[in-house]
Parts: sequence; structure tokens; C-alpha cells
Amino acid sequence: MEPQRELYKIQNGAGQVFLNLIFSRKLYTNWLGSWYGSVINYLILIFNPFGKEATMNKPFLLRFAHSCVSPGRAMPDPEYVYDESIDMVRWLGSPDNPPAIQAHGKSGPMTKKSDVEKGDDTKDRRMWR
Amino acid sequence: MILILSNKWDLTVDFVVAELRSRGSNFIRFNTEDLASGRATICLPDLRILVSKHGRVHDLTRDINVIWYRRPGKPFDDIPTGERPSLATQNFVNDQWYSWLEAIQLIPNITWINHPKANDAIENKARQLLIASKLGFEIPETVITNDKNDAIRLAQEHDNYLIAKALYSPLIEEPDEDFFVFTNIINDVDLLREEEMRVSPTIFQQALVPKIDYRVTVVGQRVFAVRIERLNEKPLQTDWRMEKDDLRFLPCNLPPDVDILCQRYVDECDLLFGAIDLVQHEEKFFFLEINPNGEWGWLQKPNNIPIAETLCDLLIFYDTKDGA
Repeated sequence: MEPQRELYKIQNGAGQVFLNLIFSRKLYTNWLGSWYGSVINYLILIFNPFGKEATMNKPFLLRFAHSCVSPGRAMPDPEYVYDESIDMVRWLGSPDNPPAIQAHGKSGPMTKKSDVEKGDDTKDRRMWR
Repeated sequence: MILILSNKWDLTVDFVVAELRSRGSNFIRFNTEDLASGRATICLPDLRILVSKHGRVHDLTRDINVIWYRRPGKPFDDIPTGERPSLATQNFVNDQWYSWLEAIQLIPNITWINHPKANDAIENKARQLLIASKLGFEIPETVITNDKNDAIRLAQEHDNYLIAKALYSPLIEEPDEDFFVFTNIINDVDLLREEEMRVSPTIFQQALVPKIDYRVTVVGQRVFAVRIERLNEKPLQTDWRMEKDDLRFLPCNLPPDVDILCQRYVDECDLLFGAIDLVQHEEKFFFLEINPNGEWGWLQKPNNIPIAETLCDLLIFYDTKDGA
């Protein structure tokens, strides 16, 4: 298996400091307007002859990453609705719209999180990020 | 009153809601992604936390005795990704609400299942393993490292056969696609490339094979164990979550000493709920990890394991124990 390499540009060194001092965004913001200063700064980052390119590899474990749909990305299946009056999800696939947890057999309902739900961890510290 | 903090698509909560409703218990479910649609106010210096639901304002500082902290939703969860504001704006809004919710921890004399800080502390896998070992569990020999040579040394001690897994959340959310890192077998140390290893630490452990996997759900003093088997009778090789559609979960009793260790572990970590992963290898039970807020809805219904009922017992006990 080949390592997954990804190129990142890391700008550093005395040349970068010098150029940034000469063409600082603040300077151009004051003189010529922020859009122009931003463009020049962008060009410096792209073409800076003094900057040093470095490579950073993807983390080892990403070799084994499987594609999935996270709960944050997945949108609810339209066959399910949250019923505020009972504080539960209902399944619309049956005429009596039963609570989803009562509606299905062994496989259970599939609302939105099925991809990573079973056995997934909760990460409370960073779950909002 | 019992307060449930989660999101509206958390079906595991629905099991508890149905049970609390059938018992006529006094509870309120807040799906926190909806907080922005109502009133949410913290008043100081005399702490009051006011939240509206269905047009009624609840004073959490006065009404609540126990909080079941499940999976709080985020403000933009119900909005398709393409229609959400910039990531920076999302992060800003999320952070404001996260901080607001965190203030609920200021309410005195509340029982949490589990307290977010206790969850947070025990999410650290090094801590999990160290506590397990100190309590008397067997644990797999482990290195957590970004150094290829340390991993190779461990491999050499175990027939060049290791497992590798993530030290923290195994979910990678790229702008257009998500990825999940399960536990993997490493049987060729040439896979361990220096330049990839250095980037971030990885957990390497002796591979316990052959093995039998167990998921042990501890609720208060009760322990619910299931043995995890493949439907085709072949032994599981690595991470059972990768084969979740071909599995069966058989309720079982653990040996009494292991059962007690699971209870002690959850207690030691200041938790009232925990989902512990064990493996049986060469007649010994090894502790792998604990998910302090692990999923269990998939165990409840098809296997008739009364986790929701037991959780309700616990919630009601803490809601009423001081004559509330």
C-alpha cells in the first residue's frame, strides 16, 4: 500500500519575514484598499522565492479510513418525523404513523445516523466542533 | 424533574421517553439543536436558567434533579450542509451555545448521567487502560506512539501481529465526505512508515486472537453483557463494528469477578453509565475500552435487553431520592 502523501506549503524563513514586512497586508489595506493588499499577499504566498516547501504526510491511520456519512452531515429520511407532542420520532411508512422504535423489526429504524450509529463513540468534548 | 439533553434524531432516547411516559414520570426532553428557536436565558448573580419549550418556560435551576446527558444537537443540524452559513460562523454559533449549555453544570445538587466532565476525562484511552489495569483487569500490552520503532518493538514481541486504532475520535469530517477509522490489524511492519507515523500518535496493542468480543453495558449497579458472534460462525478478526450486519448479540452472564470489575470500573470513573468492550482470549477477559456515553438502542429492542427500563429506574431514583 502506498503512503498517502499530501503537499502542504509551509512559508517560513527570513525571506518570508522580509517580504511580509515590505508587502504587509496592513500597509496595502491603508494605501490601496484591503482587496488589493489581500491579492498581493496571496501572490507572495504562492510565488515567494524565499519560502520553503515542506511535505506533510497524512496520518498513518488514514490508510484505513472507510467512507461514511456522519450524523452531522446526514439529513433525516423523509419517512420519519419528530413529533413534538410525544417527544419521539414517528414513522410515516405505516398508516397509523407509529413511533419509529416500535415500527420496525430486528433491523431497527433507519433515520439518519445508521452509518456510524451502531457502536459509535460519543465525543462530548469535541462533539460540537 | 428529569431533564434529557439530546437531539431529536436520537432514537435511543425514544426508548427512555416511551418508558418514562408509561410510568407517568415527570420529565422534559430538550433537543438542543432547537434552543435557538425559543427562549434560553441565564440570569446572574442569583443563578436562574430559563428555557422555553412549547410556549412554557422552565426554570432548570428550580425544576431539575437529574440530567441524562445524551447527545446534544448542534444549532445547524437540521439545515442541509449546503445551506449552512460559513464554517467560521457555524463554529462561532456552536461555541456560544456550547458555553451556554455548559453553564447548566453550575446548578447545584444535580445528578448527571453522566457528568460531561466525567465523560470527558474517561474518553482518554490511556487513562481508561491504566484505570482498568489498576483495578485488576487484564489489558492488552499497549504503546501509544508516533515512533515507528516503538511500534515495531511491540510487534516483534507479538509475532509481528498488532492492532492499530485511533487515540481519540475516529471520525474524520472533510468538507465533502466523512471517514471512519475502525480498529485494524497490522501484520506487516513495513506498513509502518516513519513519515506517516510521525504526524499523529496511534494506539498499538497486541492483537488478541482468537477472541470473543463482549459489549458490557453498565447502568448504575446493573450489568448487561452480550457476547458478539458472527452469524456464519466464523470468529471475528478485528473490529466487530465493521461487520455489524452479520452479527448477533447474545445476552450472557460474565464470570462474577469480571462482572464486579465492570461495576467497580464505572464507579471508579464517577460514571453511572458506561459501555465497556471486553474480549475473552485464552480464557482470560481483557478490557479494551469504555464508551462513557455508548450507544445501546441497537441492543434494547432486538435482544429485549431492558437497558431503557433500568435507566428509567435510575433516573427516577435520583429524581425522587430526596423527596423531590
